[in-house]
Amino acid sequence: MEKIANLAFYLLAFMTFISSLVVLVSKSARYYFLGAIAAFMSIGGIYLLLKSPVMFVIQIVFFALGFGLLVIFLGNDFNVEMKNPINKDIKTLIAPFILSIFILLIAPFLANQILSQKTNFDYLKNFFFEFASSLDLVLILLTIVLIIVLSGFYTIAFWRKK
Amino acid sequence: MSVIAFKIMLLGLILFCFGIFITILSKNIFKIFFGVLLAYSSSLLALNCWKNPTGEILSITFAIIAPFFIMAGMFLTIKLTKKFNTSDISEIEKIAKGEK
Repeated sequence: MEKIANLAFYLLAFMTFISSLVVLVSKSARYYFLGAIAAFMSIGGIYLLLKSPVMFVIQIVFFALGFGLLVIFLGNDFNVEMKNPINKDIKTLIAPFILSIFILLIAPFLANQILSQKTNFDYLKNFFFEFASSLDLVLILLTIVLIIVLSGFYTIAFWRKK
Repeated sequence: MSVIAFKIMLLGLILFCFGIFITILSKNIFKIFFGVLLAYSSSLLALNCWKNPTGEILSITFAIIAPFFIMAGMFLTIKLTKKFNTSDISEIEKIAKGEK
């Protein structure tokens, strides 16, 4: 069973990378929409490996079908082809820098975990369990405050426009 | 944490980097939106691997916010393309500067 799970994992990871590369490189909307939907579908498949069907449904419905809706709304633009799909400005050098800095930051942790062959999160657990009892309430309060603030901003913006 | 969950967490982190990479490198606004969504969904994936109460609460909260985020992004991109008649971000910039 583990072999099948491993095989499925590598297949889905490969599919995700290939389809997101297609999105980055392709010039026509026909290909990058399909690539986007395939990428989200394959991420949804990985959720099934984690045995979390709720997240699988959320991934498929909102992420993959959201892009499907975009296809329906913008069906007329399918024949337009871009000349240069990739941004070649000097500013885009920031992207590899961000990537390398992020990887360098997490590299010691990952190397330690891989070398020890056991994943050890005890120190993180001890840190978070002190707050875990009150975290439910805090998260609910935070979401309520966020919704109130956002709706307030929108109403003020609407009022100023009038 | 099992071995496969750990592998999936690594994949989520790498895909998060890749999503940011796509967002910065691409010119098309749909591709930029795709990069943001890829980073978001892969961060959810990485959070979901960590099967303790905190990780689960965080992942469910972000999953609840996700549809609003996606709808807002969709309407924004559709409005931009319909107003400027292109999805190329450099052309949109040129038109906006010309209008001023």
